[in-house]
Amino acid sequence: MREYCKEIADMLVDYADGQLSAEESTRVTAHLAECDDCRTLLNGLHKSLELAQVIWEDNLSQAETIRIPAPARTSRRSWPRYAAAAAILIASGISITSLIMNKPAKNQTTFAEIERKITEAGNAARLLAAADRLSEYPDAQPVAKRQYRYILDRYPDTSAAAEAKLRIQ
Amino acid sequence: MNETRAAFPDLTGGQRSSKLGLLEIFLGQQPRLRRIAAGMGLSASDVEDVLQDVSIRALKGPVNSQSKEQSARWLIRVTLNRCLTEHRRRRSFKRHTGEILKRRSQKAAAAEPAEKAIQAEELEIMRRNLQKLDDSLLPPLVLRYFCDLNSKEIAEILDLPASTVRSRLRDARMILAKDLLKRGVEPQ
Repeated sequence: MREYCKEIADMLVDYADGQLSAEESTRVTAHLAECDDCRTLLNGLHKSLELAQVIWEDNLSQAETIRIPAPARTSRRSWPRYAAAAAILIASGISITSLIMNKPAKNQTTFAEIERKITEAGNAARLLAAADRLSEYPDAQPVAKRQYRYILDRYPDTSAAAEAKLRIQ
Repeated sequence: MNETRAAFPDLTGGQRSSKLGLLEIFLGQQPRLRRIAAGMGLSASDVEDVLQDVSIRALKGPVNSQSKEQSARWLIRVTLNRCLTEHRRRRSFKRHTGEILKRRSQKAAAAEPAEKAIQAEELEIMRRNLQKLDDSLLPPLVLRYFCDLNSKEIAEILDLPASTVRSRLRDARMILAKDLLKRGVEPQ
């Protein structure tokens, strides 16, 4: 790439975004008219942003299908809830690890699987703690119940899901 | 005084209003926070988890003497940091390109098969490039081009000079464009 092209390339993103002064913009336009490389690079900038936006929009359309988390309210005495969640998490971890360790060799579970199960148990316990805090308020109880159902649906094999099931009943 | 009230002695007077104020700001910002988390490449379920976390953080957040704008920026920063943890673990942009194209074809008239194949390849390259984009480059990119924030607003959120934000935006765009061209994708 020629030295002048490098100088223009430094301005291309701002040019594409319409952030250059009129004078700079004119200079870049004039160069683009005669330089294939810089024109290709500009088109690459447009194309890459277009593709990124397709990916972002798709991700967002999926994310918009999730329900809105309700605002929980805080408590100075929330530590018992966290203690309960921690107890569930530890118990889940021990039972999962124990289960895995005692499995026959031919059914050996991978470390990735162990990590996934522990992560799920942790997520479920955390969500359970949040739902418990919500349920302390009469007006938030329907939301808390939805949270319990969500835990039950998404993390069915966790101790927190068993707790959530009890809370729903 | 009932048990619940006794458990929340701080939820009266000024502190109550500030805490509830932060929650209101969280609710108001929620569409934007969701957009950010989606732009950072998280799956729908991970977006949900992130928003749950942020709602809880909003309860404990530094609300004293913060303006509404400062609180909103703080919520965005918390969301971004949480998303970056997932990005570092390479749990972002994991959605299969085929799924994206399938949904797009359901929305619009189906493209020609040949064109579809090219799109799939292009999208796959871009998906991988976004996934491996540096931690310092992805947040400004998402905030600028997916959330329509300007460099000054991004600088305030990320606590960086505006010139650094602009420089990172240029770097990110160039990396993505050049990699696309290097792999032979026709930009026209």
